[in-house]
Amino acid sequence: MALPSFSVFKKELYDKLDDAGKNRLFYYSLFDPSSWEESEPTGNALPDYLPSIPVRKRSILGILKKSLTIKRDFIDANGDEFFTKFANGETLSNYLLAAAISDYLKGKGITGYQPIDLEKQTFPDVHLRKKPRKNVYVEIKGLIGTSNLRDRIKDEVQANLKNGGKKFKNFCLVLIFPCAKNEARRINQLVEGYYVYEWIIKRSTKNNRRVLCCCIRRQNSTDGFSLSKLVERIVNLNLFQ
Amino acid sequence: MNKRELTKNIILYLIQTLGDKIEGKKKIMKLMFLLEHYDFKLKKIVENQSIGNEFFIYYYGVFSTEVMQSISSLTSEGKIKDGLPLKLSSSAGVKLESETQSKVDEVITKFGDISGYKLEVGTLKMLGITPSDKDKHMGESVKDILAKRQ
Repeated sequence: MALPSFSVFKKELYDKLDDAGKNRLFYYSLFDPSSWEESEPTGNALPDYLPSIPVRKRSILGILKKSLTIKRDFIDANGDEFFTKFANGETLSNYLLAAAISDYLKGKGITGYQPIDLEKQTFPDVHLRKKPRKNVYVEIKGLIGTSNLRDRIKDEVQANLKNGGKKFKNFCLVLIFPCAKNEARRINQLVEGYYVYEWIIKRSTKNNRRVLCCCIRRQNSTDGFSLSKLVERIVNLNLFQ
Repeated sequence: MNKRELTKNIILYLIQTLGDKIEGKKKIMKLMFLLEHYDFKLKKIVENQSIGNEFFIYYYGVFSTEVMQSISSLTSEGKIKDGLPLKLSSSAGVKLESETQSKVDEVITKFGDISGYKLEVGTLKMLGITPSDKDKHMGESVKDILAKRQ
């Protein structure tokens, strides 16, 4: 099934959303139905930081319908299949992150970067290229906790970095965790996990490869747990200069 | 017994039989997938389904919304207790026909000692998907993957 192009997504939807809408869509895009598997059991079976599957679907479609093309050609034509591919796959989060980075770079006067092959769902998630030869890659892992993270990074990230050789010279791995309010203990545990993986990634390579760990909340927050803060942190890694 | 009730009773049986080895929801999900699609004679994943729950490939591997709903419903009903590993409450009675029970026992004997993460990776590999290549298959149904493989 064909998916909306990045340019349609950006012009008809992303550029018209406010920061809160962009953040909410990014938050929902990061955690597919299987995220539930990693969440701890609670009395009502879902912790506060994780949306239920129907709420997530309704919220994502509600926002996506603001683009006429996406509504007419994809949601109305074949809503379920489109949602599965676009939102339960990685295309939606890739589009959002690429759009946010592109705009932030433009605002900083760093020009010439174009997103490449975002809809293909291949490693890494976001590839930005500046002609003739500058490439920056970002891989996002929307995670619930840090259990088995070492094996997961080895199997899903390091294996691909190794196969890519010198190609992934400017690379950033983003470990992103959902959080609710008043979760200091959980966030501290996640941040400890981050230091371990930053060390592993740095140790495994001599290239410009970095790791960022951050949390994200459903509501756009001013305390740093948001899409805009994440993008600022990625760009400040100096991978684009 | 309808599909939902059967699924719920199998989940209760898995928790009861595996005890501390059940870990959490991930391991139940992967064992339910193997019960659904693993052919012990052919020693591979096949399209034939035992219970009828549909599985898709998501970030944490094979996943069924129907199995998830059954676990959530058992938790809400108080039949599964909070915490890790998952435990049954005293009110949880398990009702399974002997034929189904022996199928579940086969799954437990072969896969019950394997951790949730290893089952996640192992079930994907049985479908021909390596963890480093998983992104390409996100959102795809297991049925479609098996149909393409034939």
